[in-house]
Amino acid sequence: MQVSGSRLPSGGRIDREKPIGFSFDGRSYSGYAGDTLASALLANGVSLVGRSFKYHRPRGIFSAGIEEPNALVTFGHDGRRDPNVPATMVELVEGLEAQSQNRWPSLGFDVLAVNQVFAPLLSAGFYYKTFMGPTRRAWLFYEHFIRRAAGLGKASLQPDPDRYDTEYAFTDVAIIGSGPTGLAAALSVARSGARVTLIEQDGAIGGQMLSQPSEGAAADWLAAAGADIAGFPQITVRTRSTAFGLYDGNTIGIVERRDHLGPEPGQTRQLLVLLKAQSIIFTTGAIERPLLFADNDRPGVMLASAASTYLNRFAVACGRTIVVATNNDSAYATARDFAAAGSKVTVLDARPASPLADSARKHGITVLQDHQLLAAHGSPVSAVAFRSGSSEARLSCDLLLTSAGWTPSVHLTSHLGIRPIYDARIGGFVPGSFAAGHFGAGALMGDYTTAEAIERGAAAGLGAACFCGRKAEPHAIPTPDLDEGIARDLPALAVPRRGKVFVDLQTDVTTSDIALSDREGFRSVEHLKRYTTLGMGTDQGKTSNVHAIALMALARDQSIEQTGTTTFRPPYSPVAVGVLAGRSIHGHFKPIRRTPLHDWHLRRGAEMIEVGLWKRPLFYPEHGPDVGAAAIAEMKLVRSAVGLVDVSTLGKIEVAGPDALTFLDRLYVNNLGKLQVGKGRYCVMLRDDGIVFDEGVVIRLAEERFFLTTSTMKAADVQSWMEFLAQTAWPDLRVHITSVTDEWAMLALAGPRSRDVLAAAFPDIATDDESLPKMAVVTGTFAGEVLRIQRVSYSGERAYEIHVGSRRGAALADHLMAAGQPVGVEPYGVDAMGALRIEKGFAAGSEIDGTTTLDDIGLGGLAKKSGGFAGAVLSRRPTLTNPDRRRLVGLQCLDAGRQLRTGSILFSEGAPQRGHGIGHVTAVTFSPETDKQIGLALLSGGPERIGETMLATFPVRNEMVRVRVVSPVFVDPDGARIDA
Amino acid sequence: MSIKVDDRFQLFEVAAWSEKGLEALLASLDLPLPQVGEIFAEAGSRVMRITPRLAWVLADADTLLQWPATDGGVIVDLSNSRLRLHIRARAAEVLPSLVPVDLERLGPTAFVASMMHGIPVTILRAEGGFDLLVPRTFGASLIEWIDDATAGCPGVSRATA
Amino acid sequence: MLAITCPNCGERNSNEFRYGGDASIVRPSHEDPSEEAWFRYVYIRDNPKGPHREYWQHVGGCRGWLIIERNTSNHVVLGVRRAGECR
Repeated sequence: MQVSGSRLPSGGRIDREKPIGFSFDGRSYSGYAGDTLASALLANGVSLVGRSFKYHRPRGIFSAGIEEPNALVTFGHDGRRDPNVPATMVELVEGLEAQSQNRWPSLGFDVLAVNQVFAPLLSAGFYYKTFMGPTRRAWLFYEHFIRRAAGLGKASLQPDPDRYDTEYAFTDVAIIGSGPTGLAAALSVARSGARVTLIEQDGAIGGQMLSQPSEGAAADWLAAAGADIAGFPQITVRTRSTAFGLYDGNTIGIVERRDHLGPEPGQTRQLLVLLKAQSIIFTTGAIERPLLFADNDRPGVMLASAASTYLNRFAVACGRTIVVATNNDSAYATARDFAAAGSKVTVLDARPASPLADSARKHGITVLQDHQLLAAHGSPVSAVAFRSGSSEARLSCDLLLTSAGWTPSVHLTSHLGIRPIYDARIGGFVPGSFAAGHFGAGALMGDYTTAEAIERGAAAGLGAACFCGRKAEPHAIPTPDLDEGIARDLPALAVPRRGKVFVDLQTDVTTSDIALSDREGFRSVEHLKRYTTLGMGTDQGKTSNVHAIALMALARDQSIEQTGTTTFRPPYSPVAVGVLAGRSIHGHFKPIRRTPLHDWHLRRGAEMIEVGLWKRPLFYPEHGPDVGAAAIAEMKLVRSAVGLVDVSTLGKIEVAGPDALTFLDRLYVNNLGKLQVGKGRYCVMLRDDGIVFDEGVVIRLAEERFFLTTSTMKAADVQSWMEFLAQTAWPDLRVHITSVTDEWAMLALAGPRSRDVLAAAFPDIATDDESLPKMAVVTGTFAGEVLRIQRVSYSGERAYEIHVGSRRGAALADHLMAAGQPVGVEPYGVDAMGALRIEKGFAAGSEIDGTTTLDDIGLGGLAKKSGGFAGAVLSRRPTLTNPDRRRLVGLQCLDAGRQLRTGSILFSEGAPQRGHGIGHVTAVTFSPETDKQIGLALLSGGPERIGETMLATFPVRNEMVRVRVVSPVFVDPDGARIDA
Repeated sequence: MSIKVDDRFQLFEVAAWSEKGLEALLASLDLPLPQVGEIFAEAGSRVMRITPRLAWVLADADTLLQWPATDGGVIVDLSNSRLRLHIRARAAEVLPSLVPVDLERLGPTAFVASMMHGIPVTILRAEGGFDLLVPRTFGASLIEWIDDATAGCPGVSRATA
Repeated sequence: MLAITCPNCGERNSNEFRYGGDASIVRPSHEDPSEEAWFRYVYIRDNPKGPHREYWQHVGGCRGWLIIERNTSNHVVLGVRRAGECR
């Protein structure tokens, strides 16, 4: 038999002109615009909506808001599937399809309800105590089944097709919560002229006033306030917007839901709003607590105020014969509402007296004072058991409503670490304090009459306006005349000793679990939470946390203040990962950096790879069917004729000023004092701890003007480092640092025929060896832009780097290709480029890895003997000059047909293979020149081991190859080719 | 909304060793010294004062800028390093999806150097919308980003030239 | 999102800035030969709970280095000024 829910013939804030069809568990139902899924289900008499987490007990709708622990549903299909959504928060839209969760095969007949038989095995922390034997691996066996039974809804594994956007918003005063307190605050601020953003989780403003009768003093007040709000253009109202977190910098994280608009492709489904406010007013209200009694989780048991909401806002009477059990006055309003709707109402008041008892009786309500609720009977509820004095009795009913007071929603106020404090008056926690510019008012602060709330909301508005520097005058806001009961000065919590008493409905945590947790020594409230999982569900314990703390305090015989609360962290309620990602997905996850030749590479069919944020050509498929074959062809081309490579990704920095030379001389290990105008030098810089930081070529363009390059990956770090030194360490030096990475396109021509290409391309520029010796620079023009040519080599071949303004980069490449056609110039990619430098033993990023010194990589000779450069002093520390350090060597693979891998660990032949070995492989390639697999490595004892045979092991793939230690210069050891 | 790409303009970074030095350098081009964070605009030229001693001079392609022999400062030609995006749209509707800057608090003579999608950009007010100076190598990526991020804005129809 | 008011650019989100280490320690002169002085400068730090002077660079804006006084326990920014000579 189902609890009869029925739609009242009139009243409520639903639109009876707009009926809406929806389905739940495959059955079709009908509701109205303005309904939630929960109110529509109740209107259709549906009382069973889910099965509980552990015990699979039947559950019904418990509340009317975000605090709902039971009625979690899944709706949507495939990639749009949304599990664990509280039915109380779902706006009813045409065609909505919802499914209940955590039951098989059906809600009515759930096989796992058998768990209730095993209840004693499933108490708090069971997985630490049971299912532990007979062997140590037994848990892995049980875990498989427990995991499948765990959880509530199931997430989709398909990609989410919906669109989520991000908005950055600003305001003077942000007000969180649009109940009467928030509305009063908004009007108060707006009158001062300041900008206001009013944030409301519901689809309509009004807060608790929406749960009052839809005709009467409250409704009139709300309508008037709404009209006033609409009259202020500086008030922005954001409904369907949940403020889920308060962050540093007075930033509020908000999710605005547009799901109700339906799945239109390309339309924003949810919007992340990062709202920055100068001042914030918290008017987040309070959530009702239930009484604790045996079998308090049965369908048909609800929060008193929730039943009023269904009655007054949605015109749904959830029962005809109602028991209202309470320990405070606020539930009397619910009793009156139902009596007026024609229900038979009995109030069980735990207190000996109440000022509202007499007027309640006048409305035909039976009021029984000094009556303790003991248990609910029937599923759904059909009777209650209670005690009065020493006797116990029962009462029939079809709806049991309870109230044990109200818990202020302090979450956001404590996200930045301000702990809430206990207010014994209301039996709950209120904000501990407020930072400058933050204010709180209303039920959040324990002000429970509507009149108090409105007054204090208006005062908070004044405070906020003044904080923003506005002139604000108090303005009387009318308060509605409501006959209210307030929840203050509550009796101590009464907990029955018999039966299953649930504290956290969503995680199936009972009073005996809390007692068990205490007995087993989990004494801190943080441990209680994690051991029992109380408060860890999607409702985050909104109706159970305070009870749990009170029970813990009882068990430990201490005060609630001493027990304390757990830490509140964002999000206040669940937030989809998709809305946090926004549009930073797929190709937009990070920006893409393209060189001036990007399209030029694509037109030639280049295979591109990502190097940091850059796209670079790995190889050109016109040279071979795969990267291996193509790179070999490209390498051979460079060594025998000439190749063209795009090196525009190198960091480029201009350093200029009267003290530029001094600055660079202190920065680099090299002695730059003798660097002449028009010449360049290969330079290295260290970190302050003596480790090699980066390397590049420094060119002196003029007496006081230098142009230097950095490695691609370190460009940003080097620029910041240089600016740090110039602005903080040596501010007296007159030097200016500018990044020109994007200003210049840079191409390298490498190979014995490179000079021929230059001569053909630039007949007006003298590029012979006398005019352009090694490391020198000449300047000219190309297509109206400055052109620079430097003779410098990264491959060991005769080579030149050509710089031109980046808007002419592609044109320059075309020009060089045309000029070089007679000698067979071809472009080559980064794979070949890297392989060529390995053949020459040039240290690059894989050897300059943040652990190596100048000596380690064989460049010790570059450093000024006198020191005086960054990192000089600490570079001479014993740990960095230890001769056993790993130093640069070459490796030749001795096992034909086997592959040497980067990262391989080196051991001497015959030595035990344990630990990190005596060296590691930093770079590998096939060398067409030597027809062998070669590599570079850092090896303890380095150059002294040349000639020895080692084992290079790669444990991840269980591989091992024999290698011989050789000089790292595999090709042209005399360096003759550079003059070819 | 329309996005037009312009790479025909002049851009110079002007740095001096003192505020007076910066004033003198700009004066040699008949340009004034704005406040830090402010922009001065006149036919063909704009001056943006980035820090007390550092400014950018942005000029049309055909404006003749005769730089003095640099004494008391450093002048770096950055004309190739940026693309200028002319974005024609209601700034108030479009910018909130792109960059966390409070437009209402900005005076009419302000320019903004900030970050969009992790890319450093300079935002300038313009007739009918706003201009962005973006590093050339990030230009295409930023246009794709702006196109995509603003597609959710009400009343934005896209046309990228 | 920490908010930092750059003296050149105005109030911005912290993700436009790059943290640059402790600003309460003094860098030895570049000619200082003392290994002890450099070791202390590179490796030894206090870790205060409370106000902390530190370097930040506004890489997303003016690229100026700033000295910021920030409370490490609650992120409240107590002061911001340009480092060294004004950039």
